[in-house]
Amino acid sequence: MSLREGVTGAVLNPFQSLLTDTPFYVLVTVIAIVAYALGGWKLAALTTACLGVIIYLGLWSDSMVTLAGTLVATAVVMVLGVIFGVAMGRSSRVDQFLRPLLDAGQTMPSFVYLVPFLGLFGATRFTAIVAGIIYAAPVAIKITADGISGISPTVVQSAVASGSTPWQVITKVQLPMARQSLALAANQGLIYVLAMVVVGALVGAGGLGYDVVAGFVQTSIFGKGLAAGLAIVFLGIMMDRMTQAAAAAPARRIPSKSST
Amino acid sequence: MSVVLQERKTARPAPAPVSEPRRRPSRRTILLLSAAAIWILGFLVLNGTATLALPASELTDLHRSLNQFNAWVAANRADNPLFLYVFTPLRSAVDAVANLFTTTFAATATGLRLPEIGWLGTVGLLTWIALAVGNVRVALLTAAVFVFFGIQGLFVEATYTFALVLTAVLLTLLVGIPLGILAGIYGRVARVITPVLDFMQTLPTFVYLAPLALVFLIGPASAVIATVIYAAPPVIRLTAHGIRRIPDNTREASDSLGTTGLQRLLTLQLPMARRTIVMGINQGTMAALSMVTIAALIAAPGLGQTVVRALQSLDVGTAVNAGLSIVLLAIVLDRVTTAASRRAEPGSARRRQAGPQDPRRPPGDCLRRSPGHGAVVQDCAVGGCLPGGPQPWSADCPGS
Amino acid sequence: MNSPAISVRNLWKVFGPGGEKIPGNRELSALSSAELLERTRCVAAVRNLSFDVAKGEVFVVMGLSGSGKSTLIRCLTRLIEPTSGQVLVDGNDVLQAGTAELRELRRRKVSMVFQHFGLLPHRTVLDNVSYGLQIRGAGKSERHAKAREIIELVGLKGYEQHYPDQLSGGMQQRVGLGRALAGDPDTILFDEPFSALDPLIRRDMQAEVIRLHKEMGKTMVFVTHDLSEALKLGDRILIMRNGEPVQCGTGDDLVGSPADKYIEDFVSEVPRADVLTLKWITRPLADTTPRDAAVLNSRLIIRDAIPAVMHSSCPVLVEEGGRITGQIDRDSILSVLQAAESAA
Repeated sequence: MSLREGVTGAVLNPFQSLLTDTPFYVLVTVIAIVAYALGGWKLAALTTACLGVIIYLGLWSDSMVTLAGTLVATAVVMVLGVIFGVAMGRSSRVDQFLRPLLDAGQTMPSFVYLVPFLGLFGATRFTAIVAGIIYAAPVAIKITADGISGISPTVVQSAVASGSTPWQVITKVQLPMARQSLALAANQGLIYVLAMVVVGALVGAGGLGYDVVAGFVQTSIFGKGLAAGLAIVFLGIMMDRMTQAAAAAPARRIPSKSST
Repeated sequence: MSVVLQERKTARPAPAPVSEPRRRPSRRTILLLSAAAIWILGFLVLNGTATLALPASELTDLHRSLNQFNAWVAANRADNPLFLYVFTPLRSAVDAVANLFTTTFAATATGLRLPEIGWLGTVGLLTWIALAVGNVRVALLTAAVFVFFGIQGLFVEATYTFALVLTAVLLTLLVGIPLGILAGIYGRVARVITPVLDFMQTLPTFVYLAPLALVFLIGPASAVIATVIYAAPPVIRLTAHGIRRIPDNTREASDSLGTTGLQRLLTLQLPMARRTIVMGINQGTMAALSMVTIAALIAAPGLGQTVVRALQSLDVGTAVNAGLSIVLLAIVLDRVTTAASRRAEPGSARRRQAGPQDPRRPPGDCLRRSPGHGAVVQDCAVGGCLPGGPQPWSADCPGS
Repeated sequence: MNSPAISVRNLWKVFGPGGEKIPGNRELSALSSAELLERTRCVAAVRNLSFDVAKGEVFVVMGLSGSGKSTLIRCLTRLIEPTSGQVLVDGNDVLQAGTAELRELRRRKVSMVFQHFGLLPHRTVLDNVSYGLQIRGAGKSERHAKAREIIELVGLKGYEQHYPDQLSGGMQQRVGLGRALAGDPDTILFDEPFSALDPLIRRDMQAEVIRLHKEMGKTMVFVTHDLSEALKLGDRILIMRNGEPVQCGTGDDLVGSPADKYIEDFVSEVPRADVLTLKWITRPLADTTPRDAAVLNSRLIIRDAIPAVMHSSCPVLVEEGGRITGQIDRDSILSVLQAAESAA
């Protein structure tokens, strides 16, 4: 599987080591600064508190592994969300074709997604991330598409009437106006991906999910599993609040993903 | 944002970015860039120090004390009053309901892999339910899918999963609909409940399981309780939404006739919110199926367990079979509850039989299902009973 | 005339934080709406309003949107809780009534017809009309029998089993009217019932209300923003502006002697010959007028007097209560018609 190895070697591993090998105090500072930039003192305090709890739980390193997988998968989900969301938002035929597929995708339990990718990629982190992407993409695509098609047609028509190319309409009118929806898509995509990356421990994703599953199996490390569950909660709260703040902030772009 | 947009639009005819004044980077951009710089520098200079890595087999003191807590709970389960009077009775009650359904649909209590009402009985009963709440098409789908489970050799697992989903959904409705009604009627309840629901929906499915297993032991009971916690938010939200969404003027009209609170609920709010509530049941059911399969990790019987075992032994073939069964079960549950919600729409059946634009139907076409009850009412008074001559109100009679 | 059906005294409704203090406060209650909003962030939708509605009367409340007329009509049965004042229905104080008493009032004495109908979409016409009866606990056969009677009365016979969304707007409002009538209330309140309807249907529905009023003699309080509707239906008309009463009187009072510039503007478009009576154009009797000329009643509408005056070779006499009060001639009628021409 060269795709798997390529992606793992070129993206996953460097990004993961960027998170796991940097000293924790540097990362806490960096994340707190980002939180401050997005949502002010309150958010920075909340984020620092969440990270503090994770350190107290003794699961910093595992949390960073999970965070790395989640962020990579969310980035891909957002790319898919924008591409397909824009296509659906602009063309009702694409919408009619894709929507039933997305609906079907959303009715399926998260477990099921692991199975086919296990067959394809074996028991690795990559499998869990791909499953997470596929699990979360429908939500992100739908929210983006609704945001794009919710833009008043008059605005789009006026842009077209002033001679914009379709690319200009997308990048200068539709995407900026759907910013709220994009941020919401990122928020929801992140939550879905996190849920899946944790379940992905069953096929070798490691990180916090592995601690939870191992805790169920062995009583001797039950306590660690319980702590890992709590760490997931705080990681989730932190990322949820940060993306929500990015959504609410009156900026031109969503600056969260590139620098976190 | 619209200002930005206008600026850009007016800028467009001019060649490229000349007319747009260059913005100075905002404070936020500077902060984010400096954060990135600190990170990269920190990574390069201090690489590998203070990473707080903890090998998989190692525990911290906190983990050990949690272990001890686990042991303490196990030791005191029998005589701690909290367990004696709250958790254990709750667990037995949930277990009893779950047992009722598993023995009916899946396997006897003695472990014989045969439901109380027989395989044919299970398939027949479920098909009949699908027909009663939905329509012929979903009933046929139900029958086909359950027969397919039998052919796959996963009948007992699938019906176990189904029985747990059914238990969980019933308990969810028992909790969720009253809460949803309260939240729909009283704004204060909604304000209290909404952040809790938000929080519950942010949590990944996994994290409910460990604390519940600690309190309720592993097995169907904690699986069902975890599922109820996971499936209740959509039911509560949609019920509340359905009630809040009723137009003010309808509510006011009902009030002007002197309704009591209970009369308003029964004659106005519940009937008008019915479709949204049934949609909530659909959402809740799908969430329940998702959770019941994951609850295999705390020893909930069913398809989930087959998948988990196959995933752990990397047996892709078995996993695919069981996964396919879960998908099929999901499709059946979705279609049946969706069909039920379509039927719950006020006047949906009527619309199919007689277009709203044609109130004067021919006399023959006068059988109609009254919405929701499946009852057939006679309505022959309509066709051709209007006197022929021009009436003072004829201006507003469509078709006259 | 016996005691009034509805009697309103010093009614206030103030929306906003701390609104209950404003009616009692002499300084604040004297402020204009804009000043009040700035000072207290409160909006006074109804200010110090007093009026009586006689039994069997059609009383019209008229004003532009935002004048507080819809709030006023809702205050009468406390669908909106008034801030202060007194509302007597048949001599009983509505504002002092307990929950059960209020419910009884809404169920049996006063019912309401709404602008947007407020029908229950999941119920048939029959069940919608009988809804009020069901609420007060009538048995099924009893309430259906009564509802069928009412449905025939409002001209919907044959549509009993239809659902509201199968009916046109006018027919839906007939259902709303039927629902209000089914409880056999003494008083019916109308909140702009026909403003959502097409002009043609509106005219039919107005005729319907006039017919029902003649047949059943109910007291009616009718809110509208349409002056011609007000003049057509109302025995008396109350004109409101910014929550305050501007003028209250019969239609020809308003047109003939508007209280201020506001009402004058309001009624300037009205074809005066259709509304005013002869009383408004009667001149003193001239000596040259023959005493045996034709005689007309002073309460005759001017338009109806045109043939008699135009065909008479001399001025026509006007009598009121058996006494000759003056005369009118062609010129006086033509001046009214000409004024209408130039206004249009």
